[in-house]
Amino acid sequence: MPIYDQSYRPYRGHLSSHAMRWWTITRTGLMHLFSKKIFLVLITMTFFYPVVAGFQIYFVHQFPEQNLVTINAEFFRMTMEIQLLWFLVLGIYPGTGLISNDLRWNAIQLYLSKPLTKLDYIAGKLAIIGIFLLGVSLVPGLLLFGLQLGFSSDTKFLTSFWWIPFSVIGYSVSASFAWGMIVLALSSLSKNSRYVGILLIALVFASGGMALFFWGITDAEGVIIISVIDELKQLSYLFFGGQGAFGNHGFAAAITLVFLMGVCAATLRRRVRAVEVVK
Amino acid sequence: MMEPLKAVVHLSMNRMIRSRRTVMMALLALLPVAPALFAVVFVSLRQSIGTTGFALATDLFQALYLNFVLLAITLFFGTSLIGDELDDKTITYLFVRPIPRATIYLGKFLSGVLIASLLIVPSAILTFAILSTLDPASEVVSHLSIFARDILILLLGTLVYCALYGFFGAFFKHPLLVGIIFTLVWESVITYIPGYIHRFTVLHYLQSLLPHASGQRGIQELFGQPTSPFVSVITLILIGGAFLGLSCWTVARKEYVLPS
Amino acid sequence: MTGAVLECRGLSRWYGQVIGINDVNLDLAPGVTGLLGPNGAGKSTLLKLITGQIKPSRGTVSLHGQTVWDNPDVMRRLGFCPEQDALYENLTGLSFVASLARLNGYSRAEARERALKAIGKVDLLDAKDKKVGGYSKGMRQRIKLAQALVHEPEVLILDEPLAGMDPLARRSTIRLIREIAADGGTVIVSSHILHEVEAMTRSILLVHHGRIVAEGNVHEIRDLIDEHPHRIFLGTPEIRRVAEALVKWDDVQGIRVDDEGLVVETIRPDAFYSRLPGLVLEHNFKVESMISADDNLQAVFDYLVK
Repeated sequence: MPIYDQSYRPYRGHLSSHAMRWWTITRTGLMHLFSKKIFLVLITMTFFYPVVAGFQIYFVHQFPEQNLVTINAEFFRMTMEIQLLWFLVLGIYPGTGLISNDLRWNAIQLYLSKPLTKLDYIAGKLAIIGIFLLGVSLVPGLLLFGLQLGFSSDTKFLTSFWWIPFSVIGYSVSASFAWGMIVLALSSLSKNSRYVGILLIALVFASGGMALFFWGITDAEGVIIISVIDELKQLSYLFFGGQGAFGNHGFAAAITLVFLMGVCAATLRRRVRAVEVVK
Repeated sequence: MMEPLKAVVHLSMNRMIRSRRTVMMALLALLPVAPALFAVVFVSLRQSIGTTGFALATDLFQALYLNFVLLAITLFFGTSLIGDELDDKTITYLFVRPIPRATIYLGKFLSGVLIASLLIVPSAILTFAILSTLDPASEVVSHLSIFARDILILLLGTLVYCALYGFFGAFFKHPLLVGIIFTLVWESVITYIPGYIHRFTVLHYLQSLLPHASGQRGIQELFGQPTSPFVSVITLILIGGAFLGLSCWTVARKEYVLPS
Repeated sequence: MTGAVLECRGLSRWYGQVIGINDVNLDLAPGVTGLLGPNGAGKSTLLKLITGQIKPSRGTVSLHGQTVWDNPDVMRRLGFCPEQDALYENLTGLSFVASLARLNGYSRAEARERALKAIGKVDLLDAKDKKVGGYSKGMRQRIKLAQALVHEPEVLILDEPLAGMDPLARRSTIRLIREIAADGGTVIVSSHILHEVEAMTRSILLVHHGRIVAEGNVHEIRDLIDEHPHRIFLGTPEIRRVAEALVKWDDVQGIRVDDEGLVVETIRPDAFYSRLPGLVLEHNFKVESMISADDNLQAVFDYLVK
């Protein structure tokens, strides 16, 4: 009768590829967030304006003689701009806790002691917030475009604005990536997520206030890209065309955001470490 | 009650002063100094700005102090009063002492207001001093009383917002999120609704106290008729007192359970 | 109960549908009491109720007749060393203890003096001016103990006080706890390290599933556990002869042969011990050792909880 070895044996089964290991972090983070009621309420609230916009599209087609609103590229750009409010809110919760909580509980050492690289860790965390940011920008944008197409009785809208879905995708991905990196970089600066939240608010409001002040002194519209939120707004003009109260500085905003991404990447590289330095 | 209160204030101040986060908040409070310096450099390069240093100071006061520095600093310190002790799991040390919990909270509130004021007021004074270099000395002297009133408004705002955000910190599990939604939605969006509803915002009463023209112009555009300064001060004190009382009551009765 | 310092009557606490503590009745007299139980038994809930951190759902907990919840005056007589490794990292050890002493109502000078005394008791005077953030785990545990002792409380509640300490520090802390009890203090020590609780006290409180399972002296409790006869090891080269003699005794329920002796199972260990010397002399047995295998806290814990 054979006697089988009951001692420890290493796992010999299939291992997922390295390319997808970041997904484990993302999936765990998403499951954790979706288990919280407050987060579900927050996500529901993010669809408030897209629902309103949906009704606007409906009323435009039901009552065309009223000329309620024009459904064009500016309509979709404005939707993206209004949804930026939720970028800030989602940046605060759950964004600020993404890395700061791991710093607080010394969890980064646990992550990096597994066969995960820093890049896997950062990508996994970025994907958590990125998914939600895309959820409040890309998803409503495409749904509203689909709704408009559905209500259209001819192909005029499609032939004129066939490029809008690509602009929605392009803008949503760029803005989500940029904002996600900013939030992650700030989150890596402290163990206290509340403090990170204040830094995020400071970045948004201080840069906005200073941009307005500099514009008041210099009268140069381009200074508006000092404001982080206005950079994202200006980026929308790059994808959708048109211009706002401060003109169209989409290209300059894009360059500034790329530079900011570099700073964020450098910050994350320095702050995400497998060791804790005790002074 | 005074001795335990002093002890709590001393412990809280000791903690906050030594904290790196307070240093960062001080730098945050000094952010408006940068545009002020920029304006002075801009003028010194002989670029005309078409306005006075005082007008710039009042614009900066409105745009950055009232709408950013005051809110950011009080939001941080207000929500941290209880929040930091909970996050750091040190609240047990305070609650197992022979001091009523309300007194503990009051002591932490006073230290929070003190620290916030020590960060905000010098920054405002520095900004005013820098921008005053653009104006003749006689004009600067005549504006000093207006500036003093601005400082008092900042102090009153610090007191009221610390009380408000302190209540969020004592009551809610995510006080920062609640504070942001309150500030972005209630204090900002409500101002666009006509009628008397904007009288239910703290910002309305602070704006009503502003002595300088830009503030009043802003009020006329957004708020309609401002409230009289006397009523504004009384209302702000009542709001601050009410939220402080609510916070003390909440802290005395709520169970702050730390995970084992 | 006369002399009870801490009383619990019908004490219950639940969290939603989960019962933390269920109908606990307790009287604690001065001395050291070890609070034991597996994870999730309700020890932390009981300590939180005793220290007034949470309110009972039902029943009362009182210290010298005064209700604990929402009664700051009671805290003058109570010192608590929490389990959490949480301190004011930016303060020095002396500042930390002195600041908390001031919250007890002492003046600045007196608080400092008391803090120095308390820090001296836990052998941390050398590190008193160093920031707490730079302390080792054992030092952090000792400074926590110091803040609990600084106001010389009558009742000391210690949640895992020895965690992270090196063996020397553990010995001196156990000695300190016993000294406090000898001076008339009441100490409740919650710990998982059974042999260290045994070194501090024979008086235990065993909690399981939110209820008090056993209370009192370890030996008395052990004696009452009838379904688990006492196991006594007798080291002897004359295994068969000794076994043959012992098996005739009524209270010997079983004998197991070991390589080096016998393991005897008896329901009346005291009677066994008193008769054994006579038996050895009568038959001239060679008995080299006698060990009570399970008259200890581990056995009590295992039999009552597992």
